Amino acid sequence: MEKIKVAIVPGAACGGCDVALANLGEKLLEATELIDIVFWPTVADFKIEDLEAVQSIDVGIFLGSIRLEDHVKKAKLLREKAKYVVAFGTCAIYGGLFGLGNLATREEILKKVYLDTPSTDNPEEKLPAQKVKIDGVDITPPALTEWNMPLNKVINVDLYVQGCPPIKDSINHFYEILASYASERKPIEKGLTIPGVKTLCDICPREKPEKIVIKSFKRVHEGKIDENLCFLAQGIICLGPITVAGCGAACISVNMPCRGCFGPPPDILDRAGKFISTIASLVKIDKEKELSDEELIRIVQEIADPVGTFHRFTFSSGIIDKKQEDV
Amino acid sequence: MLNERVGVFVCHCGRNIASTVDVKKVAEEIAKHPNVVFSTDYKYMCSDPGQKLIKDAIRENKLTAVVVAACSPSMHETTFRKVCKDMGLNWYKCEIANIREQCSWVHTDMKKATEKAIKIVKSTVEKVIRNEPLTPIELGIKKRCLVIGGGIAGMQAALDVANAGYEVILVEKSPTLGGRMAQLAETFPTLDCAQCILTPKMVEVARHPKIRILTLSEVINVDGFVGNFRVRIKKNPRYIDVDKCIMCGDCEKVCPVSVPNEFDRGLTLRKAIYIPFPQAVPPAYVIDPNACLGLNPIICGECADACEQQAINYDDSVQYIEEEVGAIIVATGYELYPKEKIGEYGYGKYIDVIDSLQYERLLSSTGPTGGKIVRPSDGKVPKRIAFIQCVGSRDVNHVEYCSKICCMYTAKHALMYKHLVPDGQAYVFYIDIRAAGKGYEEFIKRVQEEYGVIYIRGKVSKVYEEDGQLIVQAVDTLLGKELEVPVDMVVLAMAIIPRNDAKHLAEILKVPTDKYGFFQEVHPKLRPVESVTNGIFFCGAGQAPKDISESVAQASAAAAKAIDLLSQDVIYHEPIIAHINTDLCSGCGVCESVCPFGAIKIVNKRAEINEILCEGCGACSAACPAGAIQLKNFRDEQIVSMLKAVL
Repeated sequence: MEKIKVAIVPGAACGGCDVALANLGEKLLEATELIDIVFWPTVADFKIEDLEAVQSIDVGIFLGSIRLEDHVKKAKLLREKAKYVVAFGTCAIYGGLFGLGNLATREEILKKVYLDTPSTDNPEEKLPAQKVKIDGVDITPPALTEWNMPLNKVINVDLYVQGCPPIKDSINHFYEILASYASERKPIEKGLTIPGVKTLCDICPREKPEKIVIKSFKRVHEGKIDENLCFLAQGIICLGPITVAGCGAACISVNMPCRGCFGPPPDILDRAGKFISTIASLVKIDKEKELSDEELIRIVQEIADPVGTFHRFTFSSGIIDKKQEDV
Repeated sequence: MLNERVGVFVCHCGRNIASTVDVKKVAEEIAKHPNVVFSTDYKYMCSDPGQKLIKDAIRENKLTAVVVAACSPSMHETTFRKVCKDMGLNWYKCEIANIREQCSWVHTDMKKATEKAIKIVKSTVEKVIRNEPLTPIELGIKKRCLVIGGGIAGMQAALDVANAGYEVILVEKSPTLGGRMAQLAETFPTLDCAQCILTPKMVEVARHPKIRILTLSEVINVDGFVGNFRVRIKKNPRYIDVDKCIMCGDCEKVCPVSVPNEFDRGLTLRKAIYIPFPQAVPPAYVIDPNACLGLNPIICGECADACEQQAINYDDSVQYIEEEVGAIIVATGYELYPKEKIGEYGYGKYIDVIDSLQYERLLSSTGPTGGKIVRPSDGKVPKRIAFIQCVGSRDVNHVEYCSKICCMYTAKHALMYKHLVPDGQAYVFYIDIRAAGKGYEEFIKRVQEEYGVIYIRGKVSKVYEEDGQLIVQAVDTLLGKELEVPVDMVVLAMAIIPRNDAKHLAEILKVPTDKYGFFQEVHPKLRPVESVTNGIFFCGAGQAPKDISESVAQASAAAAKAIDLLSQDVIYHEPIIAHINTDLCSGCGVCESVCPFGAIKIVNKRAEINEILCEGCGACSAACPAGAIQLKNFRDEQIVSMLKAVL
C-alpha cells in the first residue's frame, strides 16, 4: 500500500495547532505507516523550495491565517499540488484573533509598531519587507498582506477542522478520515466541517429560564455570576449560542462565558451581525412595548468593545471584514 | 431553481408608473436576466385583458414562475396569484415587484427611477426562483364566538352573531349588561330615551337561546389562534342566586352599609347589596364584597335574614371557566378622562362642577333627581349653567385627539336644560363645533337658534368661586374679549379614553393598541374592525371615541366579520412560517424568548414550532444564533440573492 503524502503548512499561527496535531500521541507512530509527511516546517527545517519540489500531495493541511505574502504563495502552491486542502483551526477558517488587526490598515499597523510606540528605538525608520544584508547575504523578509484573511479567501478549501486549537476528539476524527483515505482510498467528503454544527448550548449544563431577558449588560468582573444560570439571562455576553460545541464547554464549566474561539456553525454569514441580532432581540424582551429607543440605546451601549466581543476570532471572515474607508 | 422559467409582467398602472418609470425599458432589461424567458409591459395588468395576457404567456412559454411589476402586493398580490393558480402554478410562485409605491410614486427622475425599478424586479426574480411551492395549512373551526363587553356594541354584536345561528359567550365585567348607554338619559339627535331603546335589547340578549351571558366576569387568558381560541374566564361571585332573586329589595332596605353609587357616578349612595339599576340584566341583586362587612353572618347577616327567597349565599366563590371559540369580538367601551388630571375647572373642588355623565344621570328619569336639573350642593335649580367642551380633548397636555361625541351631547344637554328650565340661561364654551352626522348640524342649529343657548367660542381658562358664586373665566375669540361669566353650575365634557384595563386585555389578546390605548385596527379605512391577530375584531368606543349609532354599526360590522369566519368549515393558515432545522438547533432558547405568539417551545433541547400559532413574523429567524430557523420563502439564501441583485 502506498502511503499518502501530507503537507502541513503554517500561516499566521501561534503554534498551538502544530502542538494539537502532535497531540495525536501514539497514533503518530501508527500514522507513519499510512502517511508520509512531506512538509512540516515546525517539526523539521523545510523551506518553500521543498514544497515546490514535491510532485503531488494528497492532503494539505493549512494552519493559521493569511497575513504575509509568503502565506499566499504557500497556500496557492499547496492548492496546486494537493488533492484536498484542509483549513485547520480557527485562524485558517476565520482569520482568527489576527483578524482584529483589520481594524487598522497595514500602513497604520507598521507605523504604530515600528515607529510610534514609546519603546521603539528605530532611528533609521526601518520597516519590515525591506531588503537587509545579514552576514553578507541579501535578505528580503516577507511583506504583510494588505489585510488578514482566512484561507478560503485565497484558495478553495475542501475540509474544515474547527478549534483554537482543535481538540483531541476532532483531531482523531480527522485522522480517521485520513486513515481511511490512506488505507481504502475512501474519498474525503468535500465541505465537511469537524466537529460539526451543534453549538455549546447543546452541552451547556446551565439552567435556562423560560424567557431569556437581558435587562442590562455586565462584564464578568462586575458582580457575582450565578454558576448554574445561563450567562445571557444574567446579562453577561456568552458566545456559546453561536459557537460550535467542540471544546466540551471548557470555559463555561469554570464559570466563564464563552468567547467563541471555535467559531460559529457553518451557515452563519457574519457572526457578529448575527449575534448582535440575537442579543438585541433579547434586550428587555419582556417589556418590549414600553422600551423607548433612548433606553434601548443606553442599554446596548453598555456592551464594551462590540467588535472585540462579537468578532474576536472571526472579524476577517465577516461581511464587513476590514476597516472601511470613511464614507 | 436554475431551470425555472420566469415571466415578468410590467404594469403601467395608467400613468401612475409609466409617467416616472420607463416600463418598456424595464421589460427589455429584465429579459436579459438569467431565468427570465418572457417579459412584457401592459397598461393595466390587473384588468381582464392584462390577466389574460399573463395566462397566455404562462401557457405559451411554459412559465414556472411569474413576477408582476406593479403596485403594492397588499393591493393585487391575490389577484395575480389567482391568475397563476388558474394556470396550474403554485400560489407562491407568483411574486409582486412593487414599482409603484416604492418607486414611481416617490421619485421624479425618470432615468434613476427606471434603474431602480429594474433592480427591484431583478431582486424579485431572484426571490421567486427560490420560492418553494407551499400549501396552506388547513384547520377546523370552533363555531362559537366570544364577545367581551356587554354594552350596546357588545350586545349588538352578540345578537347579530347569535341570530346567524352561532353560539355566543358574552362576558361582562360589571354585574349587568347595558354599559354606558344605560347611564344616559336622552340620545341625540332624536331625543329617544336611552333606556327605552336599550332595555329591550338587553332583554333580547338575555332571552336569546344562543347567547350565554357571563356577568361579573373577565377574560384572563387567551391561547390558540383564529378559529381555535382557548379562553379562560374568571367569574367573580355575585353571592346571590340569580334564579331565586325576585328583586323585592328587602335585602337592600336592611343593609347597614352605604357607599357611593358608581352608576350615578357618586351623586347618590347605594348599599353593599344592590342592583345597579332596576332594569339590570340579569335581573338580580349583587353584593359588593369590598363594601360588605365581611360576607360573614356572624358579623352581619341582615340581608340573608331578610331574604325570603333564600337567594343569598355568602360562600359563593370565584369560578374559572374554559371555553373554546373561533372568533373574538372586543367591545370594552370607554371611560372619562380622570378628573384629577384637570384641576383648573374645579372638578372635585366645587361640588357644582360635574362631568357630563353625572349630568346625564341628573337628566335621567331613573336618576337621583328623577330627571330634575338641580345643583348637587343645595338642590336648587340652576338658573345659569355653563357647558365646557373639549375638557382634556384636543389638548397637547392631555389627549390630542377629538373625543368626537361631546359637541353633540353638549348640545343635547343644553337643549334638555332649556326644556326643563325654560327661563334659565345656558352657555356652551367650545373650540369648534363638529357636527358631522345625519341630522347633527340641524340639531346644533336648533339648539342655538330655537332654544337661545349662547355658544361662546373660546377655551375656558379656569372656573373659580367668588363669594359662593361659580365664575367661568374664558375668552370669546370671536369678539376678542375676555369674559367672566357667573353661573350656578358647570358641566364638563370630559375627554373619552379607553377603559383602564383595555391595555391589559390587549396584552392577553396579543393585539396592538394605539398610543392612547384604543384598540388598533389593521387598516383605518379598509379593515376598520379587524385586529392584526386573525379572528379578533373590535367595535364600540374601545376602538375610538364614537356615538351610539356608530358603535352599533361597527358592532354589526364586527359581527359580520365573525360570522364570515365562523361560517367556514375550514380555514387556511398562511404557510409562510418559521421552519426549524433541528440538525442545527442546540436549544439555546432565544427563539422561545422572542416569539410574540408563543409558537415556539424548547422540547428536549430542540426548538419545536407550532405551525398554526406561527404568524411568520420572522423574529425568531433574525434572533436564532445558530442559523437554524428560516422563514419559508424568506430564507437567508433568498435574501442574500435578492440583495446581490440590487447592489
